[in-house]
Amino acid sequence: MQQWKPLVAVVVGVVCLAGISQTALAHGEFDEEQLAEFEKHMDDFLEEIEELVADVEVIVSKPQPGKADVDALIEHWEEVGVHAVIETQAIVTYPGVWQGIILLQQQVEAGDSDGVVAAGERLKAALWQSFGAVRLAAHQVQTGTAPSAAENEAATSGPETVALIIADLEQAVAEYRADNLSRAEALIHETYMSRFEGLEGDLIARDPDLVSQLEKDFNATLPLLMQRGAGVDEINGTLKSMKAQLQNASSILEAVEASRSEVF
Amino acid sequence: MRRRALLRALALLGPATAFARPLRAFADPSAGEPASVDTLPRLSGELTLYLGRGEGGLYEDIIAAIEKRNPDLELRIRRGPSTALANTLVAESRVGRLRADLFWSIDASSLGLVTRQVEPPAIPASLRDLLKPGFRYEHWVPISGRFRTIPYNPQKLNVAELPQDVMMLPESDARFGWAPAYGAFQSFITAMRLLEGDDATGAWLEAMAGKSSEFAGEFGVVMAVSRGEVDLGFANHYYTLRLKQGRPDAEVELAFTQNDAGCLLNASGIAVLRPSELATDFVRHLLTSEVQSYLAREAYEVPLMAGVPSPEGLPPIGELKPPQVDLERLGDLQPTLRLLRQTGVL
Repeated sequence: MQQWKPLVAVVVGVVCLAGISQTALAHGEFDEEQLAEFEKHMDDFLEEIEELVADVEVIVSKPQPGKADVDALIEHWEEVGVHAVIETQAIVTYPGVWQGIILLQQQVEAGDSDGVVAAGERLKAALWQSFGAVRLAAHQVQTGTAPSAAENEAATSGPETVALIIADLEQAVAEYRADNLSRAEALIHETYMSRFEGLEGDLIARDPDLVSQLEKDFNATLPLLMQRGAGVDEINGTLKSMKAQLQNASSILEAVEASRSEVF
Repeated sequence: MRRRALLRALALLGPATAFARPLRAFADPSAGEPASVDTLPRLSGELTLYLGRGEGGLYEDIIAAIEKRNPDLELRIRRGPSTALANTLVAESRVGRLRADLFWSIDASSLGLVTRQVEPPAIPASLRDLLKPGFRYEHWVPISGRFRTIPYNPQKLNVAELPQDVMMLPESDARFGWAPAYGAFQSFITAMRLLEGDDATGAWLEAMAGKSSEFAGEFGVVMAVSRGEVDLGFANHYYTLRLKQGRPDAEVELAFTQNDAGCLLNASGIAVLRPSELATDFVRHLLTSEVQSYLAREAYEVPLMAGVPSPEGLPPIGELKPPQVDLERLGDLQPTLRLLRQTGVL
């Protein structure tokens, strides 16, 4: 009997595999073309994060910061290009920035100076964490281990999603090789939950054994190999097998989508 | 192989016998009839939609069809996991920077979070009244549903041996399959908590833990049932229907409990965050007979409009008896996770 331990309980890390806006919801002067090639603007984003952190430090250092100070910070956050990139490339960390701003706003309004300091630290941490997630995403694009923002944006069909899953798995193996086990496991879990799950329905009717095997590989075979410190050859063998199965899934999905009935 | 018969005195459940009393919501004569898309005005203007991932490309197909039919609609879409988008909406709302007009989520719990913390305006009565009673939420519109079911192997079990009450299942000596780390399973346990209380749910989990094999996903549960590795399991309805679509001879059938968490009807839905005629009309498109039929036909989802046939292989909806649960409260996951951990299930 196949029994899989609840590997799906793995906590999702800062690596973001989440959504990308079809049409940019960009802020300030950061346009769609820049958003599509965000990895080329990392120096600009670093500068913007440093400016935002400086804003926070100014607020924290004031004897009696006021609502206008926080409003100005919000305006600045809304204007910078890094906002849109965090929003699209690091969606998991994005709410944390807003939550940090809200907490700071509340502490300022309450006039709690210790609370302001603590909230400021939390907000700065959230900004840096988000920047770290964006930098990781940029690294993945630059090294060809992750799809570009434009590719990610367009991934609405089954075969396109399968391509993203394969890229995620390759990145997970790269993380494993770099001794980042938890990040590798988080990537595998997240791509299973966020991407593969959505494809299962169409695949089950055509090849249930394929789905069953892939479910097992996502949730048991590959993560368990990593947990027991398997060698690169063994890991690559499993990756190769999963990629072959996913290519098969892609062909099935292409045929399914071509034959799907019209909505209207 | 036969399992010990239990609680034969109870009414039976199963594909042909468990549907004696119609669900009030589905049987209500005031339930709305779906309109054809041809009766709707053309959409024109800008809308920002936050779209929770799910159902493969089917939601995308619907959106593409709406866009094709309404070339003057400029739809800006942000995609992501429903939970992440809900958290973003909450954060945006708190600083008065809400950017989405609409939030289409694959699960009601994310909508519940948004409803509680963003407090979107009430859905216009003209829209709400299109839905069947029981699905008329004040701040969001259910689009399609999915039933919790008990897939069982007819070679291993006689459906007549099963109780109609999910809380009685621990008395069985059958072998179960479940996927406790799965979101749908956790919603099921949350519904059980809401209906039966934490103590009873904890006792149920403890009793079931020794009888149940664990799987990563609910399709794995259904496959294990069909292979006879377990006798029965817990899973959403569509896994079994999909499998039977491809393999009509697969050894798995669906059974339903009655008026309890075991036959919970959960829903996807959409919230209108910034009300406008355009946003309302967009939602109307999702409630048309065409879209509702498409979701039933292609995604095996349960239509929530009267007059739209159920997915093939599902009993007539009016004969099922899901419990009355406020779906928005299914987002109250922390106590559920605590119980799952306390009982060693997670």
